[in-house]
Formats: sequence, structure tokens, C-alpha cells
Amino acid sequence: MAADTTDFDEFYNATHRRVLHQMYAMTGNLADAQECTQEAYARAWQRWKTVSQASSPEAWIRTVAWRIAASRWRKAKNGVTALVKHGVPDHTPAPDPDHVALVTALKQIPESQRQAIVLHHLVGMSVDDIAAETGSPSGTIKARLSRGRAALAELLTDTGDTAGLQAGGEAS
Amino acid sequence: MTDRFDDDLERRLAGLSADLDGVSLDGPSAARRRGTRRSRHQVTGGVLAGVAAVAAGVLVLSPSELTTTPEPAPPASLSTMAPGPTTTALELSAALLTPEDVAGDSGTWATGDQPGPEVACDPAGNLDTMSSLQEHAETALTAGTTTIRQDLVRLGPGSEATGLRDDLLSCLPERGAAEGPATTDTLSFVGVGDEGWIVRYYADPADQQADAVTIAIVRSRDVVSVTVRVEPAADTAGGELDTATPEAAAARMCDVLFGDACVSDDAHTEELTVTDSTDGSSGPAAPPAAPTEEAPTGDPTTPAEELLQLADDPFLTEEDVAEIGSATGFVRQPEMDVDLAVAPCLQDPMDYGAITVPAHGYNHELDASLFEWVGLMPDAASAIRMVTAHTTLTDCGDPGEDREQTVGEPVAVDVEGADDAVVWTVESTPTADNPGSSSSFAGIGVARVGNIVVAVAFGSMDDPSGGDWPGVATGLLASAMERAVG
Repeated sequence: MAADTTDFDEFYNATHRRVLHQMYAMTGNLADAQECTQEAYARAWQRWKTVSQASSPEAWIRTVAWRIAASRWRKAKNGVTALVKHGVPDHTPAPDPDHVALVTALKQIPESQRQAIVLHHLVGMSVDDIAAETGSPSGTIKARLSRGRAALAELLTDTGDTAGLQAGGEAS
Repeated sequence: MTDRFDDDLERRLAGLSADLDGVSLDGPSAARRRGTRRSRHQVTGGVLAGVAAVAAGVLVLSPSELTTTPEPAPPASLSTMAPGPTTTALELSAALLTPEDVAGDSGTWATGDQPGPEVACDPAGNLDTMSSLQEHAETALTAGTTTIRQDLVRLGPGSEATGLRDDLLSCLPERGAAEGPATTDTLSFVGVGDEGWIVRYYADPADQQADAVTIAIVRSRDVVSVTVRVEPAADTAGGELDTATPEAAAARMCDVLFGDACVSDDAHTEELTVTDSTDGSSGPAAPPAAPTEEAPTGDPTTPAEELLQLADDPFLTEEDVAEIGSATGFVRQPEMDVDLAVAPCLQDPMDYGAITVPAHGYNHELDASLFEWVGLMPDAASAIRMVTAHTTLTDCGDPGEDREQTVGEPVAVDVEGADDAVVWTVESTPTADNPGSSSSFAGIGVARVGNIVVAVAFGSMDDPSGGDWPGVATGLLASAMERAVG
């Protein structure tokens, strides 16, 4: 048991900031990201013997945290819309304007596109790996990436934020 | 151009980490406490259930007597947990049934050394021949003369378990058949996984010591659980069907592999009606002359599903939309921007795996509009999921400040040429603080035939149907279906 605790704690300390970062990008809300990430680690501890044997426990945490976030959005159906409408919440720490623009844009694209964007462009996963992790066909992931990038480019351009950057092309 | 955008996006996403400076989670000990506290609540519930069962004279084992979960291998080296590309999840074997999962059942359960008895029409015999098979794990539990065997298989994305079901049903004699095993139960699960069925048959109805076999197939996402319970017919006196085992199997499968729950509180069974069998008849397909101990052959993952294609022009014509209730004179407007936001509560077919979703807009001289989406789905199951998702309406959008939104109940309608269809309305009215605004009406409908989904969304200030949107939408969707299929 002590060994399990040590393993879990080491895993937590080695990975939690990365997962929190990814969830922040996916949810666009630091408080939500904190809660979903911590809850995912709690669930992992409940079944640590099996999670620790996974090919990537970190992927397990990220996937569960994302599902928790998505589930909460669906239960509070207008929550995301409200966040979009009201912008970055007050508890976000003194944000860089560039970050505000990016987070605001991310929150305006569909959650499936946002997830694909973050997994590909932040986590560094290939289309096939995203397809495997999310249980979606590769073609769907490519479409989500393409649409997500196009939408982000437009949204960021609208805010005068991308200096004319354009999106498009195929995901690899 | 694209590389520059990607580089910039990646740089900015990475830069978000600066917002985390000074922000911390509660720490690993807090996570462990939260997890442990929840586990204790679950154990407490189990103990209370055990007390009640003992009072009723049922043998219940304490969890400590029932440990079969294999001891874990040493955890992967944490130093290798780089944030790079990752693949999936847990080994299937971790999600197999354990004696604890069936501990509420009578008897002393233990993991068996043998794979379990062979039975007629066993779906497990087909699993390793499935073309989409990616991973396979199995276990067997025994208690006295009863054996429960479970196979877990991971299939490719978008896979279905209907092939396994159809092979099972076609292998067994029909219910009431004079000869061969007697099939007594053919049911569908509701609220268990994404799809599931349970079948029971008696190998020799005249022999109380012959096998009674209960086979359940449950799929959640890309994983399928097949449980086979074999016991002497005499032990099934009373006739109660064992749905608890497949439900426990599904619960464990989803909990371990996906970290969520896929067995609802009101899970139950319904009489199975198979409408998509090859002969189109209802109920199990015609049986072979007599079942054999050999598993059926062939690849059950390739049922004869004919995929439909989109028409070259899959959209409603101007003639089709000449009259939408009292609104007339819609014309095609190829340049109109079509955004799902104009269709409250309508979900994106892309989220259900659509291959493509072309869309078209139409407008009307009196400031009414109509939008149409035509989704080519990879299979009928995806299309069914997309349509049935609208039987409970969610994500219906924000009506805006000083407005109230009324979302009508979704109504299933019978649309000519469609297998399933659901329609609903959403009305937005200004609050008393907003007297200068007008009300608005949106009527939406989604229908499916095979693997093709169509959706229409009408929007204007007034309801053109006079309160009968289902009636108006039925005709509109029928036309849309006719145009969509190539």
C-alpha cells in the first residue's frame, strides 16, 4: 500500500501540471480545469492498481478529465454559452491579453474541435493517436482539426490577433 | 502559410502554461483522500446490502474473501512518462469480471482455471474471427455447478455488436420450436451500454440436469462484453433471468476502461424485435435444422448493411419548399452562411462520425429562413445514434439577454421514406423588460434512412404551422429524405 501511495504521488507530481495545462486549453476555464483534473486523479487512485498498468496512465487521466468536463457542460447546458458570453471568469489569474484572446477563441469552437486542436497542437499527438484515444475515425479527427483551425484563424483574425494568419491544409 | 499558423498556434497554446504559475492543484494526498472517501462510501453500501442479504438467508462473502484481481506489475517508470503522443487506455484484462462483481449472487465464486464449458451458439466462438478485433481477454468464474464466462473484445471505432447478436439468434431455434434447445428469452437491454441483448435457452428442456444457458452481449463504445452463464436447468427454477451479471460486467467495463458509468439506474430489458435481419422479418431469423456444438462461422462484423450514398444534389428543391405551412416562396440561397447555431438543440452529425455534412440555406421574402443539413454517416448505427440523441434535447443555446426560451418536447414522427425521425420547436420571447423585441420561432426536425441523416431548421418570427410543427415537418422531412438519397 505504501508503495502504491508513493507511485501514485510520484505520478501525480510528474504529470499534473501537464494535464492541468491541457485541460485549461480544452475547457478555457482554469477553475474547471483544476476541478476536472483533480477529480480524474481521485478516480485514478480508486483503481490505481489497474491504471498504473496502462500503457499511458497520463492519457487515462486526460481522457477521464475531459469526459468529466464534457459531462458537466452537458448537465449545465448553457454553461459554455454563458462563459463565452461573459468572457474569462474573474478567478483567472491576471491573464496575458494574448492568452485571453486564444482562450476566448477556443471556447467559441465546438468542444470536439477544441479537444482535437489541443491534443494535436499542444499534446503533440498524431491524428491516428487522437482517433484511438477519442474513439473516433481518423477522418473525423482530420475534419475536426481542419474546421477547428479555420474557425480559430477567423476568430483570432477578428480580434486583430493573428496578423493575417490563415488556416487550412491537411493534418498529419 | 499553414505551417506558420500551426507554429503560431502551438506556441500560443504552450504559452498558456504561464497562466498556471502560482496555481496549484490540491496535491496527490488530497486526490487520494477524495478517491478513498468515495471508495468507502461504496464499500459501506456493499456491506449494508450484505447485511440485508444475510438476514434473508443468503450466503454473502466479504470482499476480502474474493480477490482475483491480478497483482499489478510494477508501475511503468515514471521517468518515461513523457508528454508525447499516447495511445489508449488500459488492458482489457483489467476490466474483466471478478468474483466481487457477482458477489451479490448466491454461491462462493472463484476464478476458474478452465475457460468454461462450450455451449451451442456461443458468440465467443466468433470473436477471434472478427476482422475488427483489436484485443481480446477472457475469464471464467465458477460457483458450484454454475459457471460464468466472460469475453471482452476491443473493436475498431464505429463497430457494432449487432452481428454477434444476429449470429446468435440465427443459430438458435425460434422460441416455441418443437425440437432442439428451447429458447425462452430474447430481450434487449435498455440503459446498459450503447447496445445490448440477452438470450436464454435450455439445451434439453426435458432434462433438469441439462444446461440452461444465458448469453448476454453488451457494447459500450468500441468494447464488447459477452457473458455466458451456464447452470443446470434445475437451478433456474423460478425463471428469473440473470441480468445482474451482464450489467455488472458492463459497469466494470466502463468504469475501468472509460472511467465512467454506462449502466443507468433504470436499466431494464425489453422484448427484442429485430427488424434489420436479412429477411426483414421480426424476431429471430429462421433457425438451422438443429444447433450443433460448433460455433457459427463467418465474420459477424460484416452484416449485410447496404450503405446509402448521397444524391448529386441532396437538397430540397424550391418546389419542395414552396410551402412550409403558411410560409411560402422560399428560394435557394447558396451563398447563405449555414451554422448549426441557427438550429437550437440540433447536434452536429460530425460528432457522431459523419463522413460529410453538406448544408444549404433557403430564405423567404418575409424574413423567414430554412436551413438543411444532409449527413452521410459511416453506418446506420451512427445515424441512429445521431437521431436518437435528440430524444432528449440539450445544448439548446442561449436566447440572449432579456429573452426567454421555451424548448418544446421532442416528438417522434412517422416520415415516409425514413426509419426514424424526431421534431421539436423552440420559441424565444422577450421578457417584460424587453418590450421592443419580437418573439421568434424555430422548428427543427431530424430524420434518418439507413446511414443518411437529414436535418431541417425553420426560423421566423411566427410559427407557420399554427401549432402543428410535427405535421408540417413530416412532409418537409419526407421530401428531404427523398432528395438526399442517391
